[in-house]
Amino acid sequence: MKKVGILNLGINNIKSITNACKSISETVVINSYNEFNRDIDVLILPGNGHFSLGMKLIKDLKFDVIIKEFCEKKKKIVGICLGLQLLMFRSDEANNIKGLALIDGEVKQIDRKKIKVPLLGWYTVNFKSKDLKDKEFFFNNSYMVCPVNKDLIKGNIGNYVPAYIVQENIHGFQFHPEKSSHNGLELLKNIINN
Amino acid sequence: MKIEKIRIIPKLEIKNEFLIKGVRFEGLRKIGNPVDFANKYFKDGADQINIIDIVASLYNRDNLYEIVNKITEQVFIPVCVGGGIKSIEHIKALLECGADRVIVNSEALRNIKFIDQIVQTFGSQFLTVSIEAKKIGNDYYCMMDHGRENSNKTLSDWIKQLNKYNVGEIIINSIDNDGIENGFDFELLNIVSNEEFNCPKVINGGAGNFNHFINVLEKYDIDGFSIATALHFNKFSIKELKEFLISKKVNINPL
Repeated sequence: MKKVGILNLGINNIKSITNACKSISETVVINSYNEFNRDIDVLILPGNGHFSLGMKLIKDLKFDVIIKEFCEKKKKIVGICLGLQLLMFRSDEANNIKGLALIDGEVKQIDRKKIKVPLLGWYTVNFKSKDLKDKEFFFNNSYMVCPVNKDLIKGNIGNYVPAYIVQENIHGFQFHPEKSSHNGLELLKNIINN
Repeated sequence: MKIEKIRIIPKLEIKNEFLIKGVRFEGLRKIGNPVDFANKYFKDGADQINIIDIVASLYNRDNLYEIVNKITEQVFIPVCVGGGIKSIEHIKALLECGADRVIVNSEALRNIKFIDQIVQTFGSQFLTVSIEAKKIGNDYYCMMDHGRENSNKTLSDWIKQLNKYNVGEIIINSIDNDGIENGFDFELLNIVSNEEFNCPKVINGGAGNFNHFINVLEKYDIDGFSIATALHFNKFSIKELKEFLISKKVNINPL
């Protein structure tokens, strides 16, 4: 059984992602660098809230060290919502703050002319892979990730908002799989176990 | 078809450890265990669950925390919680219980700066403002403390004021139609539709049959429906409602 580690920034609803992962596999919550145990197979960076606060907490808690170590070892990292956005180089939400810069690209404000902002509720995600059927997931965000390499986008809403990003060992969800009922749990399960 | 899906949101009103329901916010009846009802609605395909503790501000809040804790262990859709929220500490405690969003009414009417405080601490996506509107004379007024106190603010004035703040979502409850199952409050919807909104809006109060939903959707731009009485008393199930809405080509989450 795979062991899941969830990075707790202290600003997130850590309980719902923990409950969701526990229903799938062995799960621990990591509250600080010292608690980090290297037997973890899948690292989850969940997120809600402001980009600058998220980045500050990651550095204060030395989570950036854990994430980089995971990345170098090519172990699986899952970013959710803000947790995905923090993996990029920069964000419109916090102009002077550098992100973790693991995925080349930036976080942009969603254009109100193209879709109702904030995204709040359920949207159909169109997946590019034949293995994944188009399904509904729960979103709650006003910003979206725009990777330079568009091939990394494996699913989107209405061909506009990137929803699922994959770069080697990194998986990023703009939506909340832990809040997306069976569709979300199934997707999380596949990523954790494969 | 618009890309946003209409949400179906069961509303659980809680008093002490019980799910209760009244008519026009009065004559409260005990219905059962809120945890069981939340589970049932989750399995039935609800898009979100709203929980309002109607006495949390009067008595202690421990009952509410315990209920939210139990619900979020098994319910993997957004769970939004309100009732007597007056401080950032209340909100942090709810977050720890697994709440995804808080619902604030009375304290926002008393002290609008509370909205800024919440948004700056947790982000706007974390805040739903609930409006409990009641017709008095020729106008709708926003009520506080589960309908007991009049804020003396009219519905349209309050919406205009809220629009200057970064609110994540607004739920508009019709006290006059609450628990009546006679359809949504069109007079109220007319006022609402004359206002600009920069966030999603959900309406509550009056759902009694499937056509009530279609009647609203034909005329108004609404992002979700909150339902209590009709679901609690088994008038219809969420699954049946969703099947009907799909047959009418309404864009919903088919789960």
